[in-house]
Amino acid sequence: MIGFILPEGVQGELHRRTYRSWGVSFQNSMFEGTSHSRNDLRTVRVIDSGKMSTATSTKPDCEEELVKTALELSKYGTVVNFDFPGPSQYTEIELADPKVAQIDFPEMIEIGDDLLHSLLKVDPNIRASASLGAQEVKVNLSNSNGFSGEYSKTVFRAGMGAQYIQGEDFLRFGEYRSSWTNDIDYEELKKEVIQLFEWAKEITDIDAGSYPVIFAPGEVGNLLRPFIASLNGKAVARGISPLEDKIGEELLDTRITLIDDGTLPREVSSVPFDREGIPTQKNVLIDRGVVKQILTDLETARALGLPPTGNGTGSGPAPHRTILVPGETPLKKLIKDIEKGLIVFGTMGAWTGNPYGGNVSGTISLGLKIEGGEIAGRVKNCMFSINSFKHFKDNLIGLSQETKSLGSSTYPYVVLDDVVITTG
Amino acid sequence: MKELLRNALRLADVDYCEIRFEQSEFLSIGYQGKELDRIVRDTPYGGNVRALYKGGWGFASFNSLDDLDEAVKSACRQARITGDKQGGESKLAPAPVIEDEYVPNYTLDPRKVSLDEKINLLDRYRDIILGYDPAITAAQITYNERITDLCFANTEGTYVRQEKLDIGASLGATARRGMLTVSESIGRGSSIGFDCMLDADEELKEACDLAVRLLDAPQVKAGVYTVVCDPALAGLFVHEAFGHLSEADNAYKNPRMAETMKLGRRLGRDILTIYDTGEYPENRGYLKYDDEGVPTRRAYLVKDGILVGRLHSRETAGIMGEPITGNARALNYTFPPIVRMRNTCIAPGEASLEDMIKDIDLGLYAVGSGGGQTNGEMFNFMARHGFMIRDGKIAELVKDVKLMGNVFTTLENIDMIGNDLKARDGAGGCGKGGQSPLPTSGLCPSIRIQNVIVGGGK
Repeated sequence: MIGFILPEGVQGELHRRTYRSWGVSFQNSMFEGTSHSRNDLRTVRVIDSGKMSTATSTKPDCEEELVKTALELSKYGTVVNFDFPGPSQYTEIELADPKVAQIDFPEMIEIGDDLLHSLLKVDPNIRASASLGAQEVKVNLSNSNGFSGEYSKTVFRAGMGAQYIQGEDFLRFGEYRSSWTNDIDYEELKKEVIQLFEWAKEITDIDAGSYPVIFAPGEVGNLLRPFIASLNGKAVARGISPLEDKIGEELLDTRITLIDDGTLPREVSSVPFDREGIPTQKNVLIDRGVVKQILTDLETARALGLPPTGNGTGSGPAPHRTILVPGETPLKKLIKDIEKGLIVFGTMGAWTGNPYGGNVSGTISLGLKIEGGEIAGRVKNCMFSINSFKHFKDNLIGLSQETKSLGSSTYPYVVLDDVVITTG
Repeated sequence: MKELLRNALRLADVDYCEIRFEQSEFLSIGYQGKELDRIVRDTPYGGNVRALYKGGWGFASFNSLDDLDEAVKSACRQARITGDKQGGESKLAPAPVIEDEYVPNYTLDPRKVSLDEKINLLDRYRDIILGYDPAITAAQITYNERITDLCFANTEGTYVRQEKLDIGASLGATARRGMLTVSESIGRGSSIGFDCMLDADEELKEACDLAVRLLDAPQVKAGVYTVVCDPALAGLFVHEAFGHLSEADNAYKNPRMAETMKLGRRLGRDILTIYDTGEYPENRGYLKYDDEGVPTRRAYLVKDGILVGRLHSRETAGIMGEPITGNARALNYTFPPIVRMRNTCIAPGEASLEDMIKDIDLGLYAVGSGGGQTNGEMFNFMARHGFMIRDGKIAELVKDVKLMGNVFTTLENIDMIGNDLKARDGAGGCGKGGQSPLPTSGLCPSIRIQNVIVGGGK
């Protein structure tokens, strides 16, 4: 099954990922070009005398060479105490739509043209951009202990945005969607992007201070990074997670429930089994404020004495789709309830820094001031700072009922109080 | 290979066509916690074809040389679709026709250092980290080594085969007390030899010491400060705050941007000179030829405070009527080249660190490069740690130091430039257009900037 012969006592695993992707791009309000790529990546992992090593290549027919390389590396390899899994029953998930393969360049160009012109109609001085892309992926995984599995996926992506320059003021805005098929609601996408532009055209200012701030779904991942990083089995096993001994404790506001789920059909981030052959599952990381679960792969599960959660990547565990359970309040009401504050659609640098301390800060690249419950223009030259461990415990104002799916996450709008805003 | 690529190019029925083919040997070794965590050898193998017709591009990548002819035809077909729709004109700035095979003059070829020796060295660094203080709970070590054999040919007759080395490494310590976790690290990198990895002991001990001290350091208080950036952070600053804005693909089809970035405008004081270069093989941004086969050259961007140039591909230079600089770079064969930085540098000044801080009543000395981002106008960059400056003297250690600014006001606000030129190398790289991490670096001195917004606690 695995397709190559191993020395006695050595475990081996072959992972093969082939993909074809094609797309079109529009930049500076004009059609820029097309692209078509193929890639065929094979990865061999071996465990020899309790040590694991990895070799990968895109060379055609490279399996034997990869085994040889991995065996040469194995004497230096990572000390592991797990075995590759044997035969297992995983549930197949609907992840591929054959219609995606039929989407050709002319169709993509037509959609892109329409996206572009919808923006140019609003203001011809906008430098509009758009991109459409499709991908077919096939994954095969087998190992010397008898696991064998495969799945196919399709992904379709569309994005649009623009740059609007007035002297030394650069306004950049945009949105994107991804789906397992071409079912993207382009009218909704256009409406959202044009609304952002209308809101952001006028510039206003805000004094430094502490304010209630609404973070758009695209920014919520930065706020949750300290939790997701700290509930990663690798961080726990290496002794760097501050949540190591907090399982079962109520550390957050009871409105916070955070889930990882790789099993959802027709979602681009779902897979029937992880990179190591463990079936994916729904993992409740935080349940109504209580820290519940650590994500593991084979190695960290063994090290921590926990079951593997189906989150193996070959280089540590990682979530598939993180879902923050929404609230019940419409976004409009969340905005209306703020006398003076911000709604933030874009940040820069909020992903940098040590996530385990909980501090999250960044430059607000697209932030709108809220005054008397109304959007009152774009703020510039501001930074926000929070401590996620503290703010999600003591300063959560609310979660919107609306959510947005962005590749590998589904988040609502999150409103936090007492966010430090620094401005020049 | 030369004949193979040239024969395939004969199939091209467009204005211009080029083929890249690469074979790489990539070794990655990682430590997390107390043990070696990852050892991977990767051998990427593949190529791509890019075709230009009436100003429109087509691009096709492939893994097997058996598919080369089909890739040429595919890229040309795509270019025709694009070009016919655009109905424009292909404008590539002229470049010399080159025929060259280039291998760097290695100071210590990493292939001559056994894996045993590499692991022993990294083990020793791991032991230094873990043995430094009981508060240090984990070592974080990344060593990445990539040797690429890259062949390039185009329909103008250029054929370049170049070997490229990229070593990027980070050696770090994580200290923890209860819910509080902090880390500190040092970076190493080179395009010319494994010797960049040697003799890190003392610098590493200093990083360990800082990691332990950061446990007790307060978060910097948010505010607006005069900030002195050390050379590593100045390197990150010039990359994020100005380097990306200098990439001509921002401006070549955007008249408003071209007007804002009109050559000849003043951006800073007379003391400020910025350039980007493929020179300096000791650093990760070294490049002999770019990914369009163009010999790299030093490109002055700001001279004596005046905007004098920008970074170009052949297309951006052709459309803007400016000289080529050799800045078209692709992360690997799955991507087309786009305009990217190499080693981005600030020319040294005359000030000492003492000169810079002595008249600051309350300010911040920000140290080390912790990552950054820009949207062209505003930027964000993170220091590894900082020290408050009080009454002209370095005072207490502070953590979580993130700075932001507006490029146009910040460049004007650089009022002192140091004499302590130093490179910024590490395990990371630059990201743009989904192509990350691309090796870049730079030589910079310390700089002093007035009125910098610093995020942090109350």
